[in-house]
Amino acid sequence: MNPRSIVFAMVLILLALAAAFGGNYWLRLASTAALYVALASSWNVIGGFTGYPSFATAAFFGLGAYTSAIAQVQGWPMVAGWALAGGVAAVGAFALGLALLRLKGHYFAVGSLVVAEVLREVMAAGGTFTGGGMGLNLPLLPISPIAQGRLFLGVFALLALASVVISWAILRSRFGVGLRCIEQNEAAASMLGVDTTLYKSAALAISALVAGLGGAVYANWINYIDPGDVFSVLLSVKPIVMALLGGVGTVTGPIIGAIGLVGLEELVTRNFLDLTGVFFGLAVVVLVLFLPNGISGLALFKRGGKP
Amino acid sequence: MTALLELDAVSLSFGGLRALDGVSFKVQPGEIIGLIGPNGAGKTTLVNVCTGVYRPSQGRITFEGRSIAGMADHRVAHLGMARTFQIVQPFPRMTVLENVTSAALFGGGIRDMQEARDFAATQLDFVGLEAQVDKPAATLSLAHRKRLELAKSLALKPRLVWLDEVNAGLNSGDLDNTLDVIRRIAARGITIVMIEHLMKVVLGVSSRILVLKNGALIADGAPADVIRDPAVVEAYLGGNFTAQGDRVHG
Repeated sequence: MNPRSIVFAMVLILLALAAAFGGNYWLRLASTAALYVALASSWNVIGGFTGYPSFATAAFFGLGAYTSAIAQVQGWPMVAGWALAGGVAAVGAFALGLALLRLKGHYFAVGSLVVAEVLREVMAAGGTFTGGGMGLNLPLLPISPIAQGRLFLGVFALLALASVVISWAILRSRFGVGLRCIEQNEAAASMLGVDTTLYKSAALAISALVAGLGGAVYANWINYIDPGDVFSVLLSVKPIVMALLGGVGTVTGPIIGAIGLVGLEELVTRNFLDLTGVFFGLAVVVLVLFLPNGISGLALFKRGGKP
Repeated sequence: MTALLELDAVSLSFGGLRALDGVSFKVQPGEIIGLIGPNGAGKTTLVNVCTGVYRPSQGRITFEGRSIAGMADHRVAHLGMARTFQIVQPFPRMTVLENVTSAALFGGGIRDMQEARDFAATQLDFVGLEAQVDKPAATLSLAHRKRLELAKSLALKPRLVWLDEVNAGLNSGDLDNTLDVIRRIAARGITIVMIEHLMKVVLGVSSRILVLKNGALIADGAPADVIRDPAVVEAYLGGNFTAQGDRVHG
């Protein structure tokens, strides 16, 4: 068994254990980890494969959360709200990408960072329709809290699985080859016949689809959203740190990184609440200096062949 | 016979600078054309206008009877016009084979991954890079990178290929190899327009020569006639030399 299959197997076993025997605490922690696996893995499509360092994850997450929440307040069923949220996030990202992906490197990063801020202001100013600064309450599910915890863990795990499978399929496809070409030399990619504008926007849309669905499910899981929560810049930064930790541009990397960081974060915030900020700063510095290719860049994972 | 590529009064301005000034010429299928001119004459700009990197300010460009002026570069690649870059542009963290496979998958129009890989391997054999297929492109020598550029452009299944200084910076042994490859590309029926500074190469390979100066075409004809054209001699060597030359021979 290669190290990658061991990672997958351990993740599945942990999730199953949490779902079967865990109380609310473990259900919440496992759900958070699964959500971040989905977000880190989907960020990797645009940030890793395509090489565009997007800080727009929070924008699509929040857009998804609000789309679904507003639809449900208007009387839509929960799952229909989720589907609408995924669609709105993906279509919005595609349109946004046509404009924003003309920028490169730092310029793109800053441009993408602004999107969440704009959407946050829009939702905060939306009056009763969006709940404004007060936020929105979502309808409660008529089941016990523990059953609800298990249900959402299942949904987040499915979303994480879908996100990883999408990454895996992209890397093996013609589309994935086009993204790698763009990442390594966009001018040359275009000259070889890659429709770079279309490919980049499609990569951002796929990434946003997962983030939007994540936000929509999150809204129902928490039962309440407000602009500061679902458009938080941490939602953009954490998936990036996770992908860096695990290994950018690989399929396994974001899984390892997300679970590792959620675990570490939990340990640090439980024991040294005041030091959380220090911990994040140190983590980024150490990663960049000593582990630029992430955990999956270590020799152990290299032997199994290409990532 | 209709021309493969036809430029009709193509001009391009960058602000106040006229980079191309009313350039007109035709390229017939099967030709090997040498495009020469002093530094800054607009040779690479001409390649960029024809391959869709820049949209001409004025004029018409037709490729196989279809207007391509201002068409996106990736669409031009699909139509069968390829180019190599003067400054080589590999995908550095892909292997040599992956580089060429990418070209086959997109501009080459081969959608099946394995088929594209096989086709790419054939092109690498053709340019003599079969021993390098599994190396990362970043580790290749300059001579090999130039040949990788050739293999990538061939994987686009082009009707016409622009070779932008594929010989620059090569030693004489590498040069002979590349010249041999260029002749064999022509033998495959691919039309070639090559930008070249080495006169030995231009005169040895081209069937026709175009000369650009300050963005304008100042000569178009057989190699032997073009190098005797006073305007061309002046462009390269300056007016004094022409006057002196006339005295010596006159």
